[in-house]
Amino acid sequence: MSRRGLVTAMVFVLGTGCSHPGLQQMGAGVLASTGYVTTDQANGLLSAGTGLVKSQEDLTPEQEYYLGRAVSASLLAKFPPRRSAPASRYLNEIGMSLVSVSDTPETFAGYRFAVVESREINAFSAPGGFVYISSAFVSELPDEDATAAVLAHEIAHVVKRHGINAISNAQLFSALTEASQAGASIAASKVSSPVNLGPITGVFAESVSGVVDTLLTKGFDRSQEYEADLYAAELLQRAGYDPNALVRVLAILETHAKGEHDGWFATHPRPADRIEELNSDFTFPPATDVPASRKARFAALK
Amino acid sequence: MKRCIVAAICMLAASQAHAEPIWVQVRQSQVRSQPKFYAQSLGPVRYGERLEKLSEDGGWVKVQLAAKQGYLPLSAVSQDQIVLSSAELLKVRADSAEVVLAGKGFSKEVEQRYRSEASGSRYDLVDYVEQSSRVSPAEVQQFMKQGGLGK
Repeated sequence: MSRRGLVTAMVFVLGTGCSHPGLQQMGAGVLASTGYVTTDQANGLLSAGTGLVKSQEDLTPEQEYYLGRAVSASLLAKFPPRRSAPASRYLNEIGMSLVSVSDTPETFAGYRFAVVESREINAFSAPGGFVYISSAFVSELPDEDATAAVLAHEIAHVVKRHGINAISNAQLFSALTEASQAGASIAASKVSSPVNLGPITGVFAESVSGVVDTLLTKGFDRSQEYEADLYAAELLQRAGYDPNALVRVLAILETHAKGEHDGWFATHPRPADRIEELNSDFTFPPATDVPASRKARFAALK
Repeated sequence: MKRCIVAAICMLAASQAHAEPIWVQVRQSQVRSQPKFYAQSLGPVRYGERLEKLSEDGGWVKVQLAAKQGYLPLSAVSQDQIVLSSAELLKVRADSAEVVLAGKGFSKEVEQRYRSEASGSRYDLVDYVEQSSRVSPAEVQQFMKQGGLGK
């Protein structure tokens, strides 16, 4: 057996028997003695060998970001971004106003908001903080508060990590196995020879497909949509927007719901059901008029 | 001798109880003067940087940055160690069960491989969105003030 193969094998053998911290320390010492890994790296590899991915919640912000970029690359191929600097700036200012009062104000590389060209009324978010709203949806929105309501719903999906949950546990388990092998290979090669990224890239591709399929075809669970609506109402209120704007948007969507089976309507519960759910879970303040200062700047989006 | 050993153990335990290291888990963040998104920046911190956590309150952690004390969003830090190898290929959260997945699961290297295989993907448009959608905290703060938000 080559030394590289030997270290790889040791990672798995020692890893499976190192549930006790003392044993793990001993195992790390044995691994480190090969000269191919440092003690810290050996400890890291053995920790991986002893654990399993418990849930999608365990993905790090960095991994969510790369997943979100790949999901975005697929979405934007279908719905290209509108290239309007004023609209982009305005949309991102609305979005960041909401993000700043959210429970996850910072993701790995920050939130991004974009209008995408599409005749379907739709909005979606990718892991890591990529939020998209279709041009058809924008044309239906009457004011800034209504726009904020749509963005708040999508931000809620990011904060609640609903996109990540679209990846099955089986896929993540598979990813861990492949990643452990890749990590052991890296350790064994002293980062001097190419690592076989093929298997983990395959799992990555499957995960991306799972999220894209959920966003465009299957939709989130009804409970996740209701959760996103409730959090959106809270975000609007925290930021100083009128949370009643969310109900106004849902009412607009309800008028389009009959006969529409694509886009938003294919992936979301009936707007009327969502309004009913919201009213039972959220105490709305009296509706207020959108201030003149916010009305004046809304033209940037149109 | 026994007393010395007991004293040493007690000192070790005490020092570990006070030391609460945390690591930056976002690409870059700012340590703020107050636990508010738009508070004055005391200085930048970057991915993998180790800080000392002093306290935690309402979604913010109070940290020690050189001689200053400031705040970071809870979402920007991890209690799990982030180890960066010299080649930055082995990025792991050493105390996490999914330690290697953190570095090797979905990483820059995997993205590069995926890009060469996923013909239908438009990463150029993702890069465009990332570059064209940036607004500064000061701009957003001004936007909120002008629109009567954030009261």
